[in-house]
Amino acid sequence: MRPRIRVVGVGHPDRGDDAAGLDVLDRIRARAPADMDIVRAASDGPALLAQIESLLHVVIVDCARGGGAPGAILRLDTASLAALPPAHRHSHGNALAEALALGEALGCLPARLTILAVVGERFGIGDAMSPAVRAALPSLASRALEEATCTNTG
Amino acid sequence: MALEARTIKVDYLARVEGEGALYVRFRDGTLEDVRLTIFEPPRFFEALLRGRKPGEAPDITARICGICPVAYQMSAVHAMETAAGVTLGGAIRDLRRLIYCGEWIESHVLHIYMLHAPDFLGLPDAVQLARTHGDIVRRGLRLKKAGNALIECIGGRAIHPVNVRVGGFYRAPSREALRAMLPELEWAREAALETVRFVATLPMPTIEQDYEFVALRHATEYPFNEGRIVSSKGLDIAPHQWPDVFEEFQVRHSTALHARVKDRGNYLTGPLARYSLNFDRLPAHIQQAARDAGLGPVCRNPFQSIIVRAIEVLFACDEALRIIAAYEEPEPSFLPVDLRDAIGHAATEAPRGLLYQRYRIGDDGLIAEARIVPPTSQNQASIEQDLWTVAAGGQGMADADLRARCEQSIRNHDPCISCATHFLDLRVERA
Amino acid sequence: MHEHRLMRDLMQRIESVARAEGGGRVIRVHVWLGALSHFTPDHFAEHFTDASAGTIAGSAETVCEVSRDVRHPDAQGVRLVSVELE
Repeated sequence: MRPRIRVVGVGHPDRGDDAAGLDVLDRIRARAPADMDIVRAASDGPALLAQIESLLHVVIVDCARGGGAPGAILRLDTASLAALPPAHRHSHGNALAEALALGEALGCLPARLTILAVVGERFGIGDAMSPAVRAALPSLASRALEEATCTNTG
Repeated sequence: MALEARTIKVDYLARVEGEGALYVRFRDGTLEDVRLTIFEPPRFFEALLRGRKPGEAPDITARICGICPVAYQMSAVHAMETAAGVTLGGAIRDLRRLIYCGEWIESHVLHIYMLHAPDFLGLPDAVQLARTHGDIVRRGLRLKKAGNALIECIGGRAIHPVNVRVGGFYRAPSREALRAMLPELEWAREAALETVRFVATLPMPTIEQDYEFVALRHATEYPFNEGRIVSSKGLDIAPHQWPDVFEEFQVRHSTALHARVKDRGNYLTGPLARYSLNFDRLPAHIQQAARDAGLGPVCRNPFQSIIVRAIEVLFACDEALRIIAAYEEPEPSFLPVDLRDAIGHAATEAPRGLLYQRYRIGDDGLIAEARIVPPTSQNQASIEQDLWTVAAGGQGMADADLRARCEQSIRNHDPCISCATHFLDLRVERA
Repeated sequence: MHEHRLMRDLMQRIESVARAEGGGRVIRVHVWLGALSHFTPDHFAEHFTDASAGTIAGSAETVCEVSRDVRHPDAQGVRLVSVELE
């Protein structure tokens, strides 16, 4: 059976702040209700789309490059995503951007989609997570859980 | 004279480059230089592996590439087993071929549908292809999903398989779990055949390159994990002889290493090489499908690699069906492998080509040295050679057209960076 | 890696400007950081220190103007605004 709510963590464990989305999954796993499942995002757009297509409610946890001070948490929903200029939605080699664009073109995006992203500053391979992002992880986890359990559609 | 600070206004935009960069220089209308730079993550992982337990290698190497983790795992476990003098047969060996089938399917289909086909159709990316040819893209997505499902069933997870271990598998999948995949794989085989027919209709530039093809060759099978390393210029060696015959070298314009056959030069691994050196190892009906798609037994046109990949997807579906039909759970699912003061090498066939790994295990039973040579670095020099051919004919082209043609040529060999849809930072200098 | 490549590109430009102006030492570099450029001023300064060591711009001070506009056409880039020479 397909889950009702899915939380998807996007990131790479060896690229500094990019690990934030994966770290959050471990933090919320124990607190997740029964109808919520928690998965690590696939590495390519099509496989990531397969993880979210046609679900009712998806919360994606990611790390953003820029868009605020390091450690700040950004929230995007379906409406605010559509408002971004195409160049930023389809950034190079970004599995999430590709999954969303493909899903939109094929009409199979989740009914409700929220992206929470912490602003990172270190993405080099082998980098340690920055203090700002590390400090933001507990609130990122709480926000993700709140988004996923919130039933109003706003 | 007292010096005063002077402020020079510059206003120059530096952009963040992608994972690859290409520099092309023309002088007086003649192509003078081509340099391709590709970022190579394995160097970082070689350092990370030192001092770790041999059993950790499959997990650590799987992190190198999100598209082909199985290939890194397969070369790692086979290298460790070779070091210990252990050879595995029976169902464990079959499961390894089977999980590799899953990876060839998902990786090749990703490349064919999401990256390469849009090039041939003159579309900027797969999103545009989805708008104009929705059914074709849906078929690709479902086919890719079948490959991912196979990896997940055997590997425990599709993204970063955790079930692969030195000596076998932590847990073997049940016969029922694998047989449950048969209907979707039957569909996949049909879809793969349709894919072959689809790519055969694409407009195909005709160039022929004089590559030295390098691939594994097995006594009876189309190769995944086993065989001798052979080439179209007569090489025929065991995998542990790789360092005797090939060498890696630093090139002036890149931090990446290139590879060559000692005293000879560039070579090419990957689908074209595998196919051309192992055509006779394909089942007769797949050979026929290749002929129907316009391929001969040897293919030297890099653009036709899209057809060869489709043929390999067809083969992988066919092979997966065959293995599952005969599968009985191995008991036990792994053999103990004890390692101390030993050296092991292995080469396996990643979707993108030969993936060589070598490990030295110290007296303390920990990894003392690791060497990982991915197909992309072995192919870099041949990709540059293709670019010389393509760019030489593109002197009169506008930069945007030249970029598109160069990107397509690079994507012919599916280097790791092509994970990024349009990655290329192209600089053209005309003097 | 992205950062390294960008810094390399930037350093080449700084060095060529300094050479064209007579080859004096670079004492200050003024840059504009796009909102999506991955850089904070501190992180940029750190990378600049590494990249400029041993060059004509070694030990130069960096002055960063940080853009918050994610829709700026150059939001993903870093703009070299000016170079101050001794």
